[in-house]
Amino acid sequence: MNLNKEKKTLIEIIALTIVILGITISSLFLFQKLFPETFEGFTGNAISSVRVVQTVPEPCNFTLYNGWNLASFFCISIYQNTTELFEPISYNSIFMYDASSYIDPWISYNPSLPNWTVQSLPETVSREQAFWISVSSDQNYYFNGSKKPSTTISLVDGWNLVGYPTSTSRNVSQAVLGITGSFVQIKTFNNSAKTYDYYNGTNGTITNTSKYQGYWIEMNSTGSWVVSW
Amino acid sequence: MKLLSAVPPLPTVFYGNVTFYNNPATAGIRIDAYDDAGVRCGYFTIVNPFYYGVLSCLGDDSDTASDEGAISGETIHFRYLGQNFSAYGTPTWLSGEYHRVNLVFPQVVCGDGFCDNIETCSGCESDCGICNDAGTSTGGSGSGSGGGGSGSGGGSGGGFSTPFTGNIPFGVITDGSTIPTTSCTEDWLCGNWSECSPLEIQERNCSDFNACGTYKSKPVEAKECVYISPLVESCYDNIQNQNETGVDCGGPCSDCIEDKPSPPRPAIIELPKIICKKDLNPFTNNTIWFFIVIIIVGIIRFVIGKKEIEKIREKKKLDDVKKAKLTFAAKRKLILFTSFLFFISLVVYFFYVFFFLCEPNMSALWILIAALVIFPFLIHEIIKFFEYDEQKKLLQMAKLNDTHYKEIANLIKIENDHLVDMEKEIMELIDVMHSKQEFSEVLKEHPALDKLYSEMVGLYKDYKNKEVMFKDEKNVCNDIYELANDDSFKDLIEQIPDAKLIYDKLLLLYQHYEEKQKLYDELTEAEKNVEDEEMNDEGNNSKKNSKLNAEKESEPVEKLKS
Repeated sequence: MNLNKEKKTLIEIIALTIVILGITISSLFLFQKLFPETFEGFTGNAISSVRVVQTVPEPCNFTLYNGWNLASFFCISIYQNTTELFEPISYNSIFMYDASSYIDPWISYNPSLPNWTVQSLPETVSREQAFWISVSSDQNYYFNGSKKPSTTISLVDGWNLVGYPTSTSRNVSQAVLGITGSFVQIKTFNNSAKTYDYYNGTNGTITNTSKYQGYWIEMNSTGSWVVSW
Repeated sequence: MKLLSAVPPLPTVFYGNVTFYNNPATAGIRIDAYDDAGVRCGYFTIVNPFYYGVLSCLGDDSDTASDEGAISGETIHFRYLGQNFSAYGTPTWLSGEYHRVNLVFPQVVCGDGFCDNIETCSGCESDCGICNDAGTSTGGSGSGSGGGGSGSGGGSGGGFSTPFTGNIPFGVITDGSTIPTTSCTEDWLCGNWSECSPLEIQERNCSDFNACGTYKSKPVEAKECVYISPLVESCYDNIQNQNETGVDCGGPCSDCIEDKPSPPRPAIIELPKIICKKDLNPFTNNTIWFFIVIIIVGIIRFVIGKKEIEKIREKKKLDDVKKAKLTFAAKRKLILFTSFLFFISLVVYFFYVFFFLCEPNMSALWILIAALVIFPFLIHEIIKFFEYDEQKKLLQMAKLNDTHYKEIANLIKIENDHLVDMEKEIMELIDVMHSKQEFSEVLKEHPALDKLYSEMVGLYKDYKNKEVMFKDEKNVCNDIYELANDDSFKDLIEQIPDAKLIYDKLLLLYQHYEEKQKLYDELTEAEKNVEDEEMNDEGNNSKKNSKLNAEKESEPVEKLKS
């Protein structure tokens, strides 16, 4: 009698767990739907598309101009092998900026340096990152990548060098809506003109965010930039 | 309001070789880079002996007043423990450029008492001695400071020619014929090597027996080594170390036994590699709102639960056992809800983090499945624990009731014995009065007293026969009451002292009957509580029921009453 009752209680608890889990996950989805982090959430395209996006090939194909270029790669994952990524081009040096490193934020790699120098890029890089790439002549870059799901980029107080992890170009004010109030200014480098464009929240020379661009974002506090695909 | 500033400029990257007291610089030496204003723009700790780099020297933000680093064209100064190196190459700052700069320590200064390989007797007599006819020095005047500082030496030992390369115009100096020699022959004597430091360097002190003041054949005073942390040593490292007499046995480990297999190595449980470079901090990834909602729900439920418990406690109609039962039920519900809320929130959070924030990583799925399987069992056990606690408390309450019941029953028994004695005494008194002729007539005038006498005789007989006598006792009480209101009997009391004694005793008897009645009422109440308890717990607690029933059967109420 007691054993049956105990079994009954356990079954009730398991059932209750499943029900509560279901309700909570549904609530979480509902919460996200009702309070999207960007206006893109309203379009309703973001949630069930993760698997679909991963299977859609979309290569990175752009030009690197002679001299310094600030570039990012939307078509790569967040664990892209670095050697593979930079294999298609002949470059002089590459610089990355890790804002969270208080010792030395710069990571650089120059293939022509002697092998006793201690220099290395990380084994993997991400579409969230941007890279300064120095090339000696104009080159076309082509990499077989694919569409990727929405990305959340963590930003720290001060300057952050980040990539633009989507191929969708957006109005700059709409694209950075999630960090409005947290950023001081945004700058990007025009690789062909070798000049900086900026946006300070109200005006500037940047009108749209676009693929392959790297962005310097100056923050006045930590934050997260959600970039929908 | 934060002032607008320029983006961090690309740094200038320096690299090259480092000579330290005419020897290759060893690993662990830190080189600091400073701009003209004395602001440190970067540093590098030597990893490969004799070489440094890459050393990134940060640039200045031209849009801010403060000096964050170097500006274009500025000369960069390299220092070791605040002392300058001599820099050969292009030690200037230019954003995004790589500059090879070779460094020599101490700074090559004629007159510092140290004859650098770069200095010659002809160029610096004070440090390297006077040149003789053959073009070599005849004795250095400097006392030298080689070997000083925190470390020097390296390389292969013995004489060392600085292998400057690239754009450093020192080729002639590396030519042995041009290096000055002195008449003094160095005779170096070195101490033992020190223990390998955590920086993986071993050091020793060497001194020149002839005190030439030159360092041409000075042996190396530092060398690389492999540092083994004491923490690494263990009885499971497959190495015979830390005074072990065999591999991982003897000494501080378990005794070595021949042919005994090595002690089992502790099992290493490899956790799944969850690669997630995303922001897991709830404060920055917005999931904090989810937790805030959960906490609010939890607080609301807690407040409601508390109020519910308070209400139960305030209910006067409920007896203690029922109150306790309801309180425990309310508490159980509260704990159940809170536990579920807490565990499920965590599960959902991790689910969200691993499957939505991160790129899908199925290797983490088992954590969720395990959590979903384990949590119900865990909560089930918690509830079982509280149920057990509740049963214990209920049993205690029932035991308390039983004790109360028994005590009352005992009191009634005592009271009954006392009443029998009293009644017997009164009967004897009345009987004595009857036997006296002068009172017999008087008694006839008071039939109530006579009636009382006969009733008490009946009661006494009943007591003797152990029969129930509630009805008779009630009649006796009524008669006593009647007698007390009889004025003529009051007159009699005034006249006959024996009658007064009987009257007083009857009043006392009356009071005892009342006391006995109260005890019976209490007994009935206790009896009812026990019965209610049994009714409620029927089927739930067979153990407790059997115990109570056994007690009930052994001491039935009726038996106690008699």
